[in-house]
Amino acid sequence: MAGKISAKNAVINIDDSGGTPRNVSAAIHTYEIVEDANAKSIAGFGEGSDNFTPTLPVKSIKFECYNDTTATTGLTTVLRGILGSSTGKTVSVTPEVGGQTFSGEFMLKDLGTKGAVDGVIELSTIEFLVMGATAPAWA
Amino acid sequence: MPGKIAAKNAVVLLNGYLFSTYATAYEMIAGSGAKSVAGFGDGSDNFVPGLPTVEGDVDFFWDSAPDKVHLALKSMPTGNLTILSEGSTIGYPSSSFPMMQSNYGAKGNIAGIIEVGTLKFLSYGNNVGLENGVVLAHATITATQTGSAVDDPTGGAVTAACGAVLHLWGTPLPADTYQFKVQHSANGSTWADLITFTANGSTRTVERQIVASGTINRYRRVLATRTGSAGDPLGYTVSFYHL
Repeated sequence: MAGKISAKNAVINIDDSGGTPRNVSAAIHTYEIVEDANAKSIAGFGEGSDNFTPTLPVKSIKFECYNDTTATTGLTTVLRGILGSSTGKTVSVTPEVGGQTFSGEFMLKDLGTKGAVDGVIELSTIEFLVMGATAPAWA
Repeated sequence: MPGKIAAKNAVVLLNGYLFSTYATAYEMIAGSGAKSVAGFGDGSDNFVPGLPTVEGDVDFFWDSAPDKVHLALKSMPTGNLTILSEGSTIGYPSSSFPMMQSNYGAKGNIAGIIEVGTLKFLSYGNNVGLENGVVLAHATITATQTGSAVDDPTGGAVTAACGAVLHLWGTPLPADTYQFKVQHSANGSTWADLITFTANGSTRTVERQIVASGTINRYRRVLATRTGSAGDPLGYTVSFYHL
Protein backbone atom coordinates (compact mmCIF):
# COMPACT_ATOMS: atom_id res chain seq x y z
CA MET A 1 0.00 0.00 0.00
CA ALA A 2 1.75 3.12 -1.16
CA GLY A 3 1.28 6.49 0.46
CA LYS A 4 1.17 7.65 4.05
CA ILE A 5 -0.10 4.89 6.32
CA SER A 6 -0.22 3.94 9.94
CA ALA A 7 2.79 2.18 11.46
CA LYS A 8 0.60 0.06 13.70
CA ASN A 9 0.72 -3.10 11.57
CA ALA A 10 4.48 -3.67 11.63
CA VAL A 11 5.59 -7.28 11.99
CA ILE A 12 8.82 -8.02 13.79
CA ASN A 13 10.48 -11.40 14.06
CA ILE A 14 13.60 -12.27 16.04
CA ASP A 15 15.33 -15.65 16.09
CA ASP A 16 15.55 -17.22 19.52
CA SER A 17 18.66 -19.02 20.80
CA GLY A 18 17.68 -22.14 18.85
CA GLY A 19 17.20 -20.26 15.59
CA THR A 20 13.40 -20.36 15.68
CA PRO A 21 11.84 -17.08 14.47
CA ARG A 22 9.63 -15.55 17.15
CA ASN A 23 6.99 -12.94 16.31
CA VAL A 24 7.56 -10.38 19.07
CA SER A 25 5.60 -7.54 17.47
CA ALA A 26 3.15 -7.14 20.35
CA ALA A 27 5.93 -6.34 22.84
CA ILE A 28 7.45 -3.60 20.64
CA HIS A 29 5.95 -0.14 20.31
CA THR A 30 8.64 1.63 18.27
CA TYR A 31 11.08 0.48 15.66
CA GLU A 32 13.82 2.29 13.80
CA ILE A 33 15.74 0.86 10.87
CA VAL A 34 19.01 2.73 10.57
CA GLU A 35 20.93 2.78 7.32
CA ASP A 36 23.77 5.25 7.52
CA ALA A 37 26.04 5.95 4.56
CA ASN A 38 28.74 6.89 7.08
CA ALA A 39 29.60 10.01 5.15
CA LYS A 40 33.10 11.46 5.55
CA SER A 41 34.09 14.98 4.61
CA ILE A 42 36.53 15.30 1.75
CA ALA A 43 36.46 19.06 1.55
CA GLY A 44 39.69 20.70 0.61
CA PHE A 45 40.92 24.23 0.49
CA GLY A 46 39.23 26.33 -2.16
CA GLU A 47 36.07 24.25 -2.44
CA GLY A 48 32.70 26.00 -2.27
CA SER A 49 31.30 24.07 0.69
CA ASP A 50 31.86 21.07 2.85
CA ASN A 51 31.27 17.97 0.74
CA PHE A 52 31.16 14.27 1.45
CA THR A 53 31.59 10.76 0.18
CA PRO A 54 29.95 7.57 1.48
CA THR A 55 32.17 5.06 3.24
CA LEU A 56 31.51 1.74 5.01
CA PRO A 57 27.73 1.71 5.63
CA VAL A 58 26.47 1.38 9.18
CA LYS A 59 23.17 -0.44 9.55
CA SER A 60 21.26 -1.35 12.66
CA ILE A 61 17.76 -1.88 13.99
CA LYS A 62 16.52 -0.28 17.20
CA PHE A 63 13.39 -1.12 19.15
CA GLU A 64 11.58 0.41 22.08
CA CYS A 65 9.91 -2.44 23.91
CA TYR A 66 7.84 -3.55 26.84
CA ASN A 67 9.20 -6.16 29.22
CA ASP A 68 7.71 -9.60 28.61
CA THR A 69 9.10 -12.60 30.47
CA THR A 70 6.60 -15.12 29.08
CA ALA A 71 8.40 -18.46 28.89
CA THR A 72 9.90 -19.37 25.51
CA THR A 73 8.17 -16.74 23.36
CA GLY A 74 8.23 -13.56 25.43
CA LEU A 75 10.47 -10.83 24.06
CA THR A 76 12.62 -10.59 27.20
CA THR A 77 13.02 -14.36 27.30
CA VAL A 78 14.07 -14.43 23.63
CA LEU A 79 16.55 -11.59 24.05
CA ARG A 80 18.14 -13.03 27.19
CA GLY A 81 18.71 -16.24 25.27
CA ILE A 82 20.63 -14.52 22.47
CA LEU A 83 22.63 -11.87 24.36
CA GLY A 84 26.32 -12.67 23.95
CA SER A 85 25.76 -15.32 21.29
CA SER A 86 28.67 -15.77 18.88
CA THR A 87 26.35 -16.66 15.98
CA GLY A 88 24.14 -14.25 14.09
CA LYS A 89 20.39 -14.18 14.61
CA THR A 90 17.90 -13.25 11.89
CA VAL A 91 15.93 -10.11 12.69
CA SER A 92 13.25 -8.89 10.29
CA VAL A 93 10.96 -5.89 10.22
CA THR A 94 8.02 -5.59 7.83
CA PRO A 95 6.64 -2.07 8.24
CA GLU A 96 3.45 -2.49 6.24
CA VAL A 97 1.17 -5.37 5.37
CA GLY A 98 2.25 -6.90 2.11
CA GLY A 99 5.24 -4.63 1.88
CA GLN A 100 8.99 -5.18 1.84
CA THR A 101 10.90 -6.66 4.73
CA PHE A 102 14.22 -5.43 6.07
CA SER A 103 16.20 -8.37 7.41
CA GLY A 104 19.66 -9.72 8.04
CA GLU A 105 21.93 -11.42 10.52
CA PHE A 106 22.44 -9.46 13.73
CA MET A 107 23.77 -9.58 17.25
CA LEU A 108 22.10 -7.97 20.26
CA LYS A 109 24.19 -5.10 21.57
CA ASP A 110 22.86 -5.05 25.14
CA LEU A 111 19.76 -5.77 27.19
CA GLY A 112 18.44 -3.46 29.87
CA THR A 113 15.29 -3.33 31.98
CA LYS A 114 13.91 -0.06 33.30
CA GLY A 115 10.96 1.27 35.17
CA ALA A 116 9.63 4.53 36.54
CA VAL A 117 7.22 4.83 39.41
CA ASP A 118 4.45 6.09 37.12
CA GLY A 119 5.18 3.84 34.14
CA VAL A 120 5.30 0.25 32.97
CA ILE A 121 8.33 -2.01 33.00
CA GLU A 122 10.18 -1.58 29.74
CA LEU A 123 13.39 -2.66 28.11
CA SER A 124 16.08 -0.07 27.48
CA THR A 125 16.48 0.76 23.79
CA ILE A 126 17.23 -2.53 22.07
CA GLU A 127 19.81 -2.27 19.30
CA PHE A 128 20.80 -5.00 16.88
CA LEU A 129 24.20 -4.69 15.20
CA VAL A 130 25.15 -6.45 11.98
CA MET A 131 27.01 -9.74 12.39
CA GLY A 132 28.95 -11.15 9.45
CA ALA A 133 30.15 -9.65 6.20
CA THR A 134 26.75 -9.55 4.44
CA ALA A 135 24.78 -6.37 4.97
CA PRO A 136 21.07 -6.57 5.81
CA ALA A 137 18.78 -5.51 3.01
CA TRP A 138 15.23 -4.86 1.87
CA ALA A 139 13.43 -7.53 -0.09
CA MET B 1 4.35 -12.34 36.00
CA PRO B 2 4.72 -12.31 32.21
CA GLY B 3 3.26 -9.60 29.98
CA LYS B 4 3.26 -5.82 30.08
CA ILE B 5 2.88 -4.51 33.62
CA ALA B 6 3.31 -1.35 35.62
CA ALA B 7 6.72 -0.55 37.09
CA LYS B 8 5.30 0.95 40.27
CA ASN B 9 5.82 -2.14 42.44
CA ALA B 10 9.60 -2.34 41.98
CA VAL B 11 11.70 -3.08 45.06
CA VAL B 12 15.16 -1.42 45.27
CA LEU B 13 17.76 -2.92 47.65
CA LEU B 14 21.26 -1.55 48.16
CA ASN B 15 23.67 -3.09 50.67
CA GLY B 16 20.90 -4.07 53.04
CA TYR B 17 18.98 -0.79 52.63
CA LEU B 18 15.41 -1.05 51.37
CA PHE B 19 15.25 2.18 49.37
CA SER B 20 12.18 1.56 47.21
CA THR B 21 10.27 4.59 48.45
CA TYR B 22 13.22 6.86 47.66
CA ALA B 23 13.74 5.53 44.12
CA THR B 24 11.74 6.94 41.22
CA ALA B 25 13.35 5.17 38.26
CA TYR B 26 15.81 2.38 37.59
CA GLU B 27 17.63 0.87 34.64
CA MET B 28 19.68 -2.36 34.78
CA ILE B 29 21.68 -3.05 31.62
CA ALA B 30 23.58 -6.17 30.61
CA GLY B 31 25.91 -5.32 27.71
CA SER B 32 27.54 -7.60 25.14
CA GLY B 33 30.67 -5.45 24.88
CA ALA B 34 30.24 -5.40 21.09
CA LYS B 35 33.39 -4.74 19.04
CA SER B 36 33.56 -3.96 15.33
CA VAL B 37 35.30 -6.55 13.17
CA ALA B 38 34.61 -4.88 9.86
CA GLY B 39 37.23 -5.31 7.21
CA PHE B 40 37.71 -3.99 3.72
CA GLY B 41 35.08 -5.35 1.36
CA ASP B 42 32.50 -6.13 4.05
CA GLY B 43 28.97 -5.05 3.21
CA SER B 44 28.58 -2.94 6.34
CA ASP B 45 30.07 -2.36 9.76
CA ASN B 46 29.67 -5.61 11.69
CA PHE B 47 30.34 -6.77 15.23
CA VAL B 48 31.11 -9.62 17.58
CA PRO B 49 30.44 -9.82 21.33
CA GLY B 50 33.31 -8.73 23.57
CA LEU B 51 33.73 -8.55 27.33
CA PRO B 52 30.23 -8.47 28.86
CA THR B 53 29.29 -5.36 30.82
CA VAL B 54 26.68 -4.53 33.43
CA GLU B 55 25.46 -1.20 34.77
CA GLY B 56 22.62 -0.09 36.99
CA ASP B 57 21.22 3.44 37.17
CA VAL B 58 18.77 4.50 39.89
CA ASP B 59 17.18 7.91 40.49
CA PHE B 60 16.80 8.82 44.16
CA PHE B 61 15.18 11.44 46.33
CA TRP B 62 17.35 13.02 49.02
CA ASP B 63 16.89 12.16 52.72
CA SER B 64 19.54 13.00 55.31
CA ALA B 65 17.88 11.19 58.22
CA PRO B 66 19.79 8.30 59.87
CA ASP B 67 19.84 5.11 57.78
CA LYS B 68 18.48 6.92 54.73
CA VAL B 69 19.82 7.80 51.29
CA HIS B 70 22.36 10.55 52.04
CA LEU B 71 24.21 8.89 54.91
CA ALA B 72 24.10 5.46 53.27
CA LEU B 73 25.32 6.50 49.81
CA LYS B 74 27.49 9.63 50.12
CA SER B 75 30.59 7.47 50.64
CA MET B 76 30.00 5.73 47.27
CA PRO B 77 30.25 2.22 48.70
CA THR B 78 30.77 -1.15 47.07
CA GLY B 79 28.32 -3.96 47.66
CA ASN B 80 25.26 -5.34 45.87
CA LEU B 81 22.39 -3.71 44.02
CA THR B 82 19.23 -5.78 43.67
CA ILE B 83 16.08 -4.75 41.83
CA LEU B 84 12.84 -6.74 42.05
CA SER B 85 11.33 -5.20 38.95
CA GLU B 86 7.81 -6.65 39.19
CA GLY B 87 7.52 -6.60 42.97
CA SER B 88 8.37 -8.83 45.91
CA THR B 89 6.13 -11.85 45.31
CA ILE B 90 8.06 -15.10 45.62
CA GLY B 91 8.94 -16.38 42.17
CA TYR B 92 8.91 -12.95 40.54
CA PRO B 93 12.03 -11.78 38.63
CA SER B 94 15.07 -10.31 40.33
CA SER B 95 18.19 -8.61 38.93
CA SER B 96 21.33 -8.19 40.98
CA PHE B 97 25.05 -7.62 40.64
CA PRO B 98 28.07 -6.80 42.81
CA MET B 99 28.67 -3.12 42.34
CA MET B 100 30.73 -0.06 42.99
CA GLN B 101 28.85 3.22 43.18
CA SER B 102 30.46 5.60 40.71
CA ASN B 103 28.90 8.93 41.61
CA TYR B 104 26.92 10.89 44.18
CA GLY B 105 25.45 14.38 44.43
CA ALA B 106 22.45 16.54 45.14
CA LYS B 107 20.26 18.78 43.07
CA GLY B 108 17.21 20.92 43.43
CA ASN B 109 15.24 23.79 42.01
CA ILE B 110 13.06 26.32 43.75
CA ALA B 111 9.85 24.56 42.71
CA GLY B 112 10.99 20.98 43.30
CA ILE B 113 12.14 18.33 45.79
CA ILE B 114 15.78 17.81 46.76
CA GLU B 115 17.07 14.89 44.75
CA VAL B 116 20.26 12.90 44.71
CA GLY B 117 19.72 12.39 41.00
CA THR B 118 20.82 9.43 38.92
CA LEU B 119 23.35 7.20 40.68
CA LYS B 120 25.36 4.94 38.42
CA PHE B 121 26.45 1.52 39.69
CA LEU B 122 29.16 -0.38 37.84
CA SER B 123 30.21 -4.01 37.99
CA TYR B 124 32.72 -4.69 40.79
CA GLY B 125 35.03 -7.67 41.06
CA ASN B 126 35.24 -10.81 38.94
CA ASN B 127 31.64 -11.80 38.33
CA VAL B 128 29.24 -13.12 35.70
CA GLY B 129 27.56 -9.78 35.02
CA LEU B 130 23.87 -9.16 35.62
CA GLU B 131 22.45 -11.96 37.76
CA ASN B 132 18.89 -12.47 36.54
CA GLY B 133 17.02 -14.69 38.94
CA VAL B 134 13.91 -14.94 41.08
CA VAL B 135 12.67 -13.70 44.43
CA LEU B 136 12.80 -16.44 47.06
CA ALA B 137 11.93 -14.24 50.03
CA HIS B 138 10.98 -10.66 50.87
CA ALA B 139 9.44 -10.35 54.29
CA THR B 140 9.58 -9.14 57.87
CA ILE B 141 9.76 -12.13 60.19
CA THR B 142 9.68 -12.70 63.94
CA ALA B 143 10.26 -16.46 64.01
CA THR B 144 11.53 -19.32 61.88
CA GLN B 145 10.15 -19.12 58.34
CA THR B 146 10.10 -21.74 55.60
CA GLY B 147 9.64 -20.09 52.24
CA SER B 148 7.42 -21.23 49.39
CA ALA B 149 8.98 -23.42 46.72
CA VAL B 150 9.85 -21.88 43.36
CA ASP B 151 10.06 -24.17 40.34
CA ASP B 152 12.76 -23.78 37.71
CA PRO B 153 11.41 -22.21 34.48
CA THR B 154 12.47 -25.39 32.64
CA GLY B 155 10.34 -27.51 34.95
CA GLY B 156 13.34 -29.63 35.84
CA ALA B 157 16.75 -29.75 37.42
CA VAL B 158 19.65 -27.90 35.83
CA THR B 159 23.40 -28.28 35.91
CA ALA B 160 24.85 -24.83 36.32
CA ALA B 161 26.65 -22.40 38.57
CA CYS B 162 24.35 -20.48 40.84
CA GLY B 163 24.27 -17.82 43.50
CA ALA B 164 22.08 -15.90 45.88
CA VAL B 165 22.02 -12.48 47.50
CA LEU B 166 20.71 -11.86 51.02
CA HIS B 167 19.78 -8.31 52.06
CA LEU B 168 19.07 -7.79 55.77
CA TRP B 169 17.25 -4.47 55.78
CA GLY B 170 15.24 -4.38 58.95
CA THR B 171 16.34 -3.07 62.33
CA PRO B 172 19.32 -5.14 63.51
CA LEU B 173 18.25 -7.75 66.01
CA PRO B 174 19.15 -6.98 69.64
CA ALA B 175 18.76 -10.58 70.81
CA ASP B 176 17.70 -13.37 68.40
CA THR B 177 19.85 -14.58 65.52
CA TYR B 178 18.88 -16.33 62.30
CA GLN B 179 20.49 -18.76 59.93
CA PHE B 180 19.49 -18.22 56.30
CA LYS B 181 19.71 -20.99 53.71
CA VAL B 182 18.66 -21.62 50.13
CA GLN B 183 17.50 -25.22 49.77
CA HIS B 184 16.65 -27.33 46.72
CA SER B 185 14.49 -30.36 46.10
CA ALA B 186 13.67 -32.74 43.27
CA ASN B 187 10.13 -33.36 44.46
CA GLY B 188 9.12 -30.42 46.63
CA SER B 189 9.08 -32.49 49.81
CA THR B 190 12.64 -33.66 50.53
CA TRP B 191 14.99 -30.71 50.78
CA ALA B 192 18.78 -30.30 50.89
CA ASP B 193 20.91 -27.26 51.61
CA LEU B 194 22.28 -25.52 48.53
CA ILE B 195 23.55 -22.20 49.93
CA THR B 196 24.16 -21.15 53.55
CA PHE B 197 24.66 -17.51 54.47
CA THR B 198 26.79 -16.34 57.39
CA ALA B 199 24.90 -13.11 58.13
CA ASN B 200 22.58 -13.69 61.09
CA GLY B 201 20.49 -10.52 61.49
CA SER B 202 22.63 -8.80 64.11
CA THR B 203 23.65 -6.07 61.65
CA ARG B 204 22.25 -4.47 58.51
CA THR B 205 24.17 -6.07 55.65
CA VAL B 206 24.18 -7.69 52.24
CA GLU B 207 25.79 -11.04 51.51
CA ARG B 208 26.31 -12.72 48.17
CA GLN B 209 27.15 -16.39 47.88
CA ILE B 210 28.08 -18.24 44.69
CA VAL B 211 28.26 -21.99 44.03
CA ALA B 212 30.31 -23.70 41.32
CA SER B 213 28.53 -25.63 38.60
CA GLY B 214 26.60 -28.64 39.82
CA THR B 215 23.15 -30.14 39.93
CA ILE B 216 20.44 -27.74 41.06
CA ASN B 217 17.16 -29.53 41.69
CA ARG B 218 14.04 -27.99 40.20
CA TYR B 219 12.46 -26.59 43.38
CA ARG B 220 14.17 -23.93 45.50
CA ARG B 221 13.16 -22.20 48.72
CA VAL B 222 14.51 -20.19 51.62
CA LEU B 223 14.73 -21.46 55.19
CA ALA B 224 15.25 -18.82 57.90
CA THR B 225 15.82 -20.51 61.28
CA ARG B 226 15.64 -18.48 64.48
CA THR B 227 17.77 -19.01 67.56
CA GLY B 228 16.28 -17.29 70.58
CA SER B 229 12.82 -16.31 71.70
CA ALA B 230 12.70 -12.51 71.74
CA GLY B 231 10.62 -12.31 68.57
CA ASP B 232 11.95 -8.92 67.35
CA PRO B 233 11.08 -8.19 63.69
CA LEU B 234 13.69 -8.62 60.96
CA GLY B 235 13.32 -7.60 57.31
CA TYR B 236 15.10 -9.65 54.69
CA THR B 237 15.21 -10.45 50.97
CA VAL B 238 16.75 -13.38 49.14
CA SER B 239 17.18 -13.52 45.38
CA PHE B 240 18.49 -16.62 43.61
CA TYR B 241 19.90 -17.12 40.12
CA HIS B 242 21.59 -19.79 38.07
CA LEU B 243 23.51 -19.42 34.82
